Amino acid sequence: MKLAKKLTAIALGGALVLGASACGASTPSGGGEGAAAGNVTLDWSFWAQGDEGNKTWKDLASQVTAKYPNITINLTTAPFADYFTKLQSQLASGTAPCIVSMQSLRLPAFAKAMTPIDGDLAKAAGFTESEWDGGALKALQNGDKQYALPYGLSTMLMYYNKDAFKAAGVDEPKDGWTTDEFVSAAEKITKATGKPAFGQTFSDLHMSAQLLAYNGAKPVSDSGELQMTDPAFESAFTWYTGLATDKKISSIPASSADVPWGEQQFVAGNVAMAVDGSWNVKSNVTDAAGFKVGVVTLPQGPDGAGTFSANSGFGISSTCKSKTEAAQAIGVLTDATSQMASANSGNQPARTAAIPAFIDGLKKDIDPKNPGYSEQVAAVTKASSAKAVPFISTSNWDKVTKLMAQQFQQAYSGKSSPQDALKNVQQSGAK
Amino acid sequence: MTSKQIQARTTRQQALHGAEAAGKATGRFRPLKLGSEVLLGIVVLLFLFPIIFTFFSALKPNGEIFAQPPSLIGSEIRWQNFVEVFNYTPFFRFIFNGLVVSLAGTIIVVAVSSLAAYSFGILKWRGRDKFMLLYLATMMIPQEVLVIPMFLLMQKLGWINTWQALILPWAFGAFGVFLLRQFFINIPYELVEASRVDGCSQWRTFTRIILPLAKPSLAVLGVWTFITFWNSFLWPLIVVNDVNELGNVSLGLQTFFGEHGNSWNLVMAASVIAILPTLILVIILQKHLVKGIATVGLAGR
Amino acid sequence: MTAITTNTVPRRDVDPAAPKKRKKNDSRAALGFLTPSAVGMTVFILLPTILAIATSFFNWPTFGEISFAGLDNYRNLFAPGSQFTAALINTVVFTLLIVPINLVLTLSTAFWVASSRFSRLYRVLFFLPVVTPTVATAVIWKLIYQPNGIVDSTMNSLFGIHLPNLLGDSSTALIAVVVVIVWQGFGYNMLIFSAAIDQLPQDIIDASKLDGAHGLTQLMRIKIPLLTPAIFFATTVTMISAFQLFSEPFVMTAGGPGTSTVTVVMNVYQTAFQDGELGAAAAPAIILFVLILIVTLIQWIGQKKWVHYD
Repeated sequence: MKLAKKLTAIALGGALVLGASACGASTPSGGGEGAAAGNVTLDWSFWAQGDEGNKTWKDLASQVTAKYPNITINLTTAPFADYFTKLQSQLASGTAPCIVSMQSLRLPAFAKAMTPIDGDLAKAAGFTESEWDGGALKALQNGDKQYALPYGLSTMLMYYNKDAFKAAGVDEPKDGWTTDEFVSAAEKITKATGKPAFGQTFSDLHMSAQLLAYNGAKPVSDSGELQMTDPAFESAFTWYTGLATDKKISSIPASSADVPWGEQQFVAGNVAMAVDGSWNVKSNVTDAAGFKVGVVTLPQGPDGAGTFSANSGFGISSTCKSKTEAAQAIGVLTDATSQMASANSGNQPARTAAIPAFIDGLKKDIDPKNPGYSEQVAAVTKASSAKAVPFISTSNWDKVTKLMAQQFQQAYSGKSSPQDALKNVQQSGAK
Repeated sequence: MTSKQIQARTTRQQALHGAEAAGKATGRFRPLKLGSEVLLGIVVLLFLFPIIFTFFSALKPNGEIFAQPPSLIGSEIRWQNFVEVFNYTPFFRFIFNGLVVSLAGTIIVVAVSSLAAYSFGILKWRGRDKFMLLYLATMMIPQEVLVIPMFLLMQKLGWINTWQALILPWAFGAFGVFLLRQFFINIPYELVEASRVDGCSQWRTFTRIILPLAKPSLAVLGVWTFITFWNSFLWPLIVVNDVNELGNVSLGLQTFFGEHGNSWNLVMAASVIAILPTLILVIILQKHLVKGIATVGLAGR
Repeated sequence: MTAITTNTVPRRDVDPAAPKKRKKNDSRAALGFLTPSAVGMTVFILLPTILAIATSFFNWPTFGEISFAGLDNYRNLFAPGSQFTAALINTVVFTLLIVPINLVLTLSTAFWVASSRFSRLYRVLFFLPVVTPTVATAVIWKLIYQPNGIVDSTMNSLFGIHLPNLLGDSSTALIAVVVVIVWQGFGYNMLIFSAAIDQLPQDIIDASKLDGAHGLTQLMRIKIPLLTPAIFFATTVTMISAFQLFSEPFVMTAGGPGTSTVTVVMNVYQTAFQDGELGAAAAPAIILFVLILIVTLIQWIGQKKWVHYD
């Protein structure tokens, strides 16, 4: 025991020393060295975007140097699926990059390791609130502080298979449709095709957004507490599981590992409708297995409250030594020109001014093979964004999503009651 | 037994093996044997079905990977998926990186392990087996919990994002020592004594007598180690800062899972490509693994 | 370890030039041959291991205050809502299934393949699943298992019956994962056993033939006993890796449905890299370590009864 303590003390000391020096001049792998000399190199970590996307972001990084010659940005990428695992280990050892890319869902878990962009830092970033979509900013706040500036905005939408609707003789849904209309459309298509028309999912945003639209239920309270057993959430979840267990109009995930089930089944042409984010507005059409894609707002119940929004942006790690320079760099990375470039390649922008670029990109790339899509997207993103609520997660959200997949599998397949499944998630997931 | 006697023994064995092999080559016809061959062929085919399916999935359009019910062949055959893998990510670079790390790692593991196994499997000394058990114990800590302390160590050494950080930390495990020890331990101690009486040093005994005898087991360890390095994922993920510069194939595969949907068909195509280097290694080493005595013992039955 | 490494032995003794007399004790040479491995192991394995053990007594978030926690991390494993007990039970069940199934199948297949005209080809083919990336394997096996998937639709068209959702049903999920693991790891032990079969001393086999031992008798009386060192190795290694099972159930079932396929190392990984609690992650790993150590010790002591060394 004594030895263990001693060793730990040594290790601890080592970790702290290393942590402190990580962003300093002594370690080349850290971010922001030699702040005093005026010239700084800032590490910026981002999830990989494929060759084309990476190039776009590298170009933007060089824009930073063009505007601030003393700043050089060193962009490193990790696969999206593992980005946050890596960030965890970097933070554990104090080697986190200066500029971190952050998703709104993960922000509560990482806020402690980040510096809010306010006061002088906000000034350095050239941040003016009015130029932004309010929801997009709010999603990247924690405790009313802005931790990252968004480069995009995503809302949850309903995608549907136009061909399947036509074949079943069902009218295509219109923005603002109701849950009753959704259920009756699904019933008709299920009857006509012999397979479930809707694809259920374990994905946090996808499922929760549909429950929010049903009766305004939220899985997490506005103060960040898990509330799976909240009566509204329980009733909405019971309705959702009932789509599979009672009405049999919904395809359920084959295993707890198939978290994005509905989205995947939709693209494969196995189900006619699924909820997915506006970040897939382009890829859902290009990947669709030989059918035409339509998109519409989430079906609303009588007490429905629109849809959830989520987004990603860039923030500053708390170990960064050159915070001002980092803020300046983030200002460039999220400025109007940057968002135009990113919007044109299919990211729904967080700056209102860049929306036409987003729609024009779709008109050029998608409309030729999926006619009328860009108009539909323009209408649906406008309608959704107007009623979008930022999704608030808990600081242990990864754990909660894992529990949801495990427990909801039981509920979706009727092996346990929806109430029991929620109770189990709440018990293991509440902190 | 002197080294000459050993040689005589080996020669006699080789002669016998030659005779066995010749007996097999003439292929005496036996109905039971034929039945066994056919049945084994069917078993192998069934066993390979998932691999065959992987290959055909790699030729499908992205949206059709999860089509229900699954079909072997999609609506079109897209050989271009294999090209797109290389356009989408620097996949050649991932293969090259993987080869460098895996080959370097394998050489170190085989060298270090065979030295240690000579100690544990051939030489006699007090506390040998207890010490081996201590070695074994180090295999029982899951890597997942060692990764963070190891990362701290790498940082202290200034090795983050370097080749040596990818190669060295996992090159001293007990696995290889244990494997070779189990093979070495059956080599008669008299062989060592004989060679020593003949005036060979321990070093020469090791290199001239033991290593040649142990070739198949060294090949086994080589293959095994190469695959472990080739497939490693968690450690490279953490210690590599720039995937494009030092990433291996396992990391590269993850890049097809993007923020904007997943390219499943490319994942499958890249997986098929990723099979090749290890497969080639197995085929090359196969010669050492069997060395003309493939059917020892059962052929003449 | 200290007993050996603290011995200071002049380097020349490691590689002595042809000593006149041979003793039964080679400890100096042993030290020399062991040094590279022992040094590497001390730095890269023992040091991190000691650190990992130490962290289990601390409340150690990836970022934030670190504080001494005593035995709290161990106590919390058994608190309500913790998945540890389920994970431990599953891990033991997985091991009890995987080890015997794997060993019996690989050993018998190794003999079967050795008797074949195409043994070289087959050995490579049986190795293919080992070298196929897990991410691809998982996709294909899911397509095989899922409702309306390959197995289900085949059964339906042949016999008109529908199978349950194999990975989504808590009564079948664990078995379904075991099948994939045995399939995927088949090549490893095949490789070991094939190499060992190749190294069977031909003179002993020949002698046994002269004594009239053939077929099954020869297999059970002569060959299997000669293979026991390899079998012992395969058992130990398969067991250790089964106890540390993680990635296959992680990608196939993510521990579900419910907690039916959660394993201890899955728990460790998620606690460390998703929840960011390094101390809490180390505690179950240490318990697992002790468990494996005990089982291996029993095997190690028991090997004298059945493993035949020369």
